[in-house]
Amino acid sequence: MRVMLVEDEEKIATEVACALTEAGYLVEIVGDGEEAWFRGETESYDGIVLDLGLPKLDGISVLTRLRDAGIATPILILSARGAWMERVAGVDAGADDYLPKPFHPEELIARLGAIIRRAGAHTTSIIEVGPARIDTRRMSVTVRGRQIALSRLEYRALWYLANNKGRPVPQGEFGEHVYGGELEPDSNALEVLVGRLRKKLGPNIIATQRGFGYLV
Amino acid sequence: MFLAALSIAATLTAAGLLFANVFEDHLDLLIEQDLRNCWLELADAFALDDADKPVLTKELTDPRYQLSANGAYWRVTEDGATILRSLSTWGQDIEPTAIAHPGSTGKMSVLHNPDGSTFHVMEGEVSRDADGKSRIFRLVVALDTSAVRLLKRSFQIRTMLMLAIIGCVLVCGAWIQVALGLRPIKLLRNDIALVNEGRKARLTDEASAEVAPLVTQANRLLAQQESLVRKARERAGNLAHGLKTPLTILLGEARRAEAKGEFEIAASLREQIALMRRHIDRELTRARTFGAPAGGGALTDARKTVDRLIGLLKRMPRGQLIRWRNELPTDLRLRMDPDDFGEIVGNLLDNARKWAKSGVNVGAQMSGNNTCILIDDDGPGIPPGARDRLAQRGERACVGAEGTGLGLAIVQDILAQFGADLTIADSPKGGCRVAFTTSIVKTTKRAGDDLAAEVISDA
Repeated sequence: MRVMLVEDEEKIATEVACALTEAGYLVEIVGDGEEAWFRGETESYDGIVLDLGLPKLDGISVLTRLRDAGIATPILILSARGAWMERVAGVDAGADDYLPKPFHPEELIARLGAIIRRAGAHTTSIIEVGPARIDTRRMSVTVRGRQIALSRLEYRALWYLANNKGRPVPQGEFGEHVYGGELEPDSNALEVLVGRLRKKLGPNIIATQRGFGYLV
Repeated sequence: MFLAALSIAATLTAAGLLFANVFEDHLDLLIEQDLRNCWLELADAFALDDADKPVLTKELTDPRYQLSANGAYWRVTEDGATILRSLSTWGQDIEPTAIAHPGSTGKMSVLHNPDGSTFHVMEGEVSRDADGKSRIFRLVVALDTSAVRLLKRSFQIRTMLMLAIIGCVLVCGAWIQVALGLRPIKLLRNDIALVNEGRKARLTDEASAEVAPLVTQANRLLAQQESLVRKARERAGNLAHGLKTPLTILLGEARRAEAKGEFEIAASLREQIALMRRHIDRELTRARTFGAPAGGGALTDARKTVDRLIGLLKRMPRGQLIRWRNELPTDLRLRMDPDDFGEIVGNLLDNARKWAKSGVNVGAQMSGNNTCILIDDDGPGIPPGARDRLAQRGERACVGAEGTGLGLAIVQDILAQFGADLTIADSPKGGCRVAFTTSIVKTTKRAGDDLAAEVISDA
């Protein structure tokens, strides 16, 4: 799961990024509105955490421009302006949720998880894939009741596939959401990663559709 | 206006009476002149002939004396006995009413007969010498002036009629002038009422020259007031940003301290941060709402605002599990700033979101110019003993629930600005009912009303 964190206050950005990484996300920090607008339109994210008071371009403008460009990525607004009508205005501008500052990182993670889940049309925090159960709130995976220990990278890969359950995920897209833009096109890292997951979860959970991608 | 009509009526009545009086005096003068001429002519023609018999030496010129009962008469008496009379004094006896000095032309008097006719009479004595001694004759001329009386009455009636018409025209004119003259004031009064009701932000600029300076000044004051309120709110918002970002960083520090195993420091930090946050939130609300009711003008489309709030709440935890029902009437306009209304209802609905089992209702009960907004949930409810305490500063029904526990206190602060209270009761749905009363704007259905209301609520 790849998220963009747009926050100009460095300390908050580091803190939130740290908490999100611990929760299994691949986080990219962006410090100003223009960059956020550019990246939001050109890159593929599973979620965006957007501060409103930003240099160069304010958060509401970023949000409006992204929505006008047809970008449907779930967006969580993070703002010191916490009056109810300010929150309503944020949601009216196209945000999926609004978290007023100061906030506990745990709450941010829960709320971000909720809007990403909703975008994937999942109503609860638990996604079931065959015999496997993925609890996105607790970051835990069980197969037939047995707890499976996964690395953060493995978990992120499984979560992304599970969130797109029923749709084959092409290699390029899969790489972007698990590794960010850092993966070399001819790298076989993804195959290795999927191989490791199949070994831990059992062979029948992740299928390969030749020419289309991975499917759970 | 009444005074103007009264003074016009009084002046015209006085003028009418004066006219009639002048006219009558003038007529009397003419009659007297006429009678005097007749008398002088009679006196001139009256003589004693050679046999000392009284005769008229020449025919009197007035032809009326030749015809009987023609309204003009003369008579000559000596010692009370009639010795000569006009042909027209047929069977009539003119009583002398005044005794004039000998030789004088006499005095005019008015004689009213029992048959209703009126005579103007002039009499006087003349002396004629006969056989060396002087004989005294009384000469009387009379004129039937009944017709003149009718003329006078007719003049009075016509004058009064004319003056009444003039009076009506004058009163109408005065009324039109007053209405036209006071029109700008009346328009201004309506305008002020509209501003007061929040249906207009400013007084109309196209006022007439008389009230234009007043309108300009009032609009300037309104603009100043708005700008003051806006600036106060902006400052409050900036203060929020300025304080909450460092607080978020401090929360991060607390988290790091916890990760390092310094649990006591972390707990103390969190506690102090929570305390600061409460103070900031409450003071921000106070700063934001201060002067809001005085700002006037503002008006909220209640149903639309609640719909938008529900849209937000549905995105929050548990929000989608709850069935939200907005039962407010579509035309409900509240005399309250949309931000303040949003803050009150937002906090109350947020509490309902945390506690409701399956449903939350927002309704309204109208009573005159007020409406009571009711928010019902089917949660566990609040025991009667805890209700008063709950509205107090930052008290919470349950420590385990999320949030700062400040919601109800903020709601109370805002409501206090509008002179209203929050009441907590049992809901017919089984849970808790919170309610507050606020004044509404009576919408006389007029084109543009809805538009105006929407513009304000969106602003």
